[in-house]
Amino acid sequence: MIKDALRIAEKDLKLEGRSKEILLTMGFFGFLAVLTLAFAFRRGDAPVASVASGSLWVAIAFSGTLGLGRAFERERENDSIRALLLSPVPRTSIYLGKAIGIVTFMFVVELVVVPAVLLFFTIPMGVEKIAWLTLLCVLGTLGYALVGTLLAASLIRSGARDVLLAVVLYPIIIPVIIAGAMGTNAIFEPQIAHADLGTWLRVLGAFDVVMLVTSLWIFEALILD
Amino acid sequence: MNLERVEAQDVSKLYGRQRALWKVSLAIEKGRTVALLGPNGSGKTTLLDLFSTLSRPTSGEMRFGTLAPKDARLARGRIGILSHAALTYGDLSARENVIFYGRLHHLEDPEGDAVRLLTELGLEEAMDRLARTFSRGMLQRLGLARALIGRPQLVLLDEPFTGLDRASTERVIERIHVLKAQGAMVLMISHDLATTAALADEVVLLLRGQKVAHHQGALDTDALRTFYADHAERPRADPSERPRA
Amino acid sequence: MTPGAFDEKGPLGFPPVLAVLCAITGLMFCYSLHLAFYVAPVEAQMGFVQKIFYFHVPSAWVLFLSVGVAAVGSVGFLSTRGAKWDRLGNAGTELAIVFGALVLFSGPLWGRKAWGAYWVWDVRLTSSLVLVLTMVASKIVRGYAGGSAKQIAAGLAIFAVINSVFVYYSVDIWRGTHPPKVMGDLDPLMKKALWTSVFTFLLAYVCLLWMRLRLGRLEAAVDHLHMQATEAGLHD
Repeated sequence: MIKDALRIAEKDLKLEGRSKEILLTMGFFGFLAVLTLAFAFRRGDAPVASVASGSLWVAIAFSGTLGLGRAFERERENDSIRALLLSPVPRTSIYLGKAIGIVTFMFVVELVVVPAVLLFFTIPMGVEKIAWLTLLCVLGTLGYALVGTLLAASLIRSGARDVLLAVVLYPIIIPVIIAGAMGTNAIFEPQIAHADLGTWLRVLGAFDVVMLVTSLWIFEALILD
Repeated sequence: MNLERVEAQDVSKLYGRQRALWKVSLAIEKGRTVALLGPNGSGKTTLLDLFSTLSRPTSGEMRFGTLAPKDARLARGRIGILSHAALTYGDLSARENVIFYGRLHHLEDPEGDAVRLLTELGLEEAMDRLARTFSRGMLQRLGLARALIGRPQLVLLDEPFTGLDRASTERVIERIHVLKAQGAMVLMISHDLATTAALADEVVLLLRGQKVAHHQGALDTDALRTFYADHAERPRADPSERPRA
Repeated sequence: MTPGAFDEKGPLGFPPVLAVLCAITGLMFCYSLHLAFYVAPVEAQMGFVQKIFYFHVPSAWVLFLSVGVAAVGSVGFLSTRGAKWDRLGNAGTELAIVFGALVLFSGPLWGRKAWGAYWVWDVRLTSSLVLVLTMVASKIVRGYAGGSAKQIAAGLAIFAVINSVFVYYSVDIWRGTHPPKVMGDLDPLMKKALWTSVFTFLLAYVCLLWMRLRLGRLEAAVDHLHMQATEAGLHD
């Protein structure tokens, strides 16, 4: 089952490696989002540093929605989702394979978005902070992608796909936003607030596990007619 | 598992108040090709979807070989589908496309099988070109290769000849004849009477979701036209029935 | 579509048990109001406005109950694809939105008087808000998502329940302090008013749920008749 998931993920990554369409649009949009937020939250001649953590997660969430939409649109365009569903691979492999692809795209985009936030909001960093921030982003992105893949896949045959995805996704990923932003706050403190950070990392971890299990359980029911 | 017979038993498919299919029964035996005819909206695609296991009937049962109806999904690996969209990835080469699906079917030698199939369908020179660069005819042949890599015993064709040139159409028909000789079951939807005449052993006419006529035996193009015209208007049993609103 | 015992029509075309329940609920509301406004003493700190508590708290409990009902219907539907489970899920979702609206309306009104602002990110109110939003999303999906709408709506309801735990916990940690629980040391008359109110709201919920389920069943029956009429050739 895992092997099938990896094959599907490999296919998605290979496709993206050739066209780079999703990565470029997501990455550029993420960067623009950060810049827009930096402009929006100015006081005096510099953006307010305390909104940096929130801006980071908003940018991740927005570009993530874009990526999810595009990734599944690609499957819908040539109806290849039908061929995938017809193959003998277990449905959960399709879910995992797609999720792995989405997570990878989001990581690549975060390589652009995180430095953008650090730059435009003037946040001093050190090696230890970067390490913790990486861990936080990994856990948060996983949670977002696990829920997002399930919802985007189930909407694949619906009419108002794009806007419906945002409508259904955002209420569910609110814990990711809260935990992500709060955790980032703890990291951006002059001295990392380890106790707080630990709590938020644990919240994200629990969220990821619970959402993974739930999604694996209901994926098949949601994607078929 | 071996799939030698598939059957729709009195199936209906309802969407709220809309009746896509109503009490349709159809059996397909090994080696037979059944053609579904009917105007747009008559339920042909819905019925095809039911045979693909991707959709479940609201009432009635779908039987795949000896499987219990609730285990219908186990038949998936033995079913191949080709529609007017080729179901392939534009940014992968022809070879990569077919190998990908071959791997999903857990074949022992997906690379070898892919090369063989693509060569049979006349695509050996274009094998490493991206699918995006293919002409319509080549794309459909690639789609057929993708559909056949899993060695399906039930092949579903959803208007695959739309927009194909003469040469490609003939190539595809040829390959399907080979399939039939190997004992595969074929269910096809085509608006083109010529291709239907070339392939079908049986013809079923659907009208507004119901099976209106079933002709056992091949028909040539003219006979098909007559068959269609004869049954296209549902005969009214009682002439004093209320006229339509 | 044979009517069950609870569907048997009385003289007004309405199941008699349901009619009686509604009547009792109506009376209970009058009694509750009486207790809340006349019998229960006015609270020392907040004054008269505190009485909104007798509507806010029961509404919140019924909101959570309804989300639970929606979740049960959703799990049932995803497991069996039975239409009656979907009807249960839908009814639970709709009633959750209704009672959720009551909670989100009464909460800020109380907050304005108790804490000085309409919205202070109170843990319970915030989690209720997210919960209601998810229920609204579920309802929107039913209307616009096409073929697989029911399944997606069901999945959302299940996510809503799980999610509400995470949201509550997250906002709780984030807030650090929140207004002390009011239930502990209540004047016995206040307790009586509150529990009566809770009971009344529960009764009202049962009536509304019954009516909504009945409506759903009747709609399905009409669709079925429509189908039979079409088959008989009466109209197309």
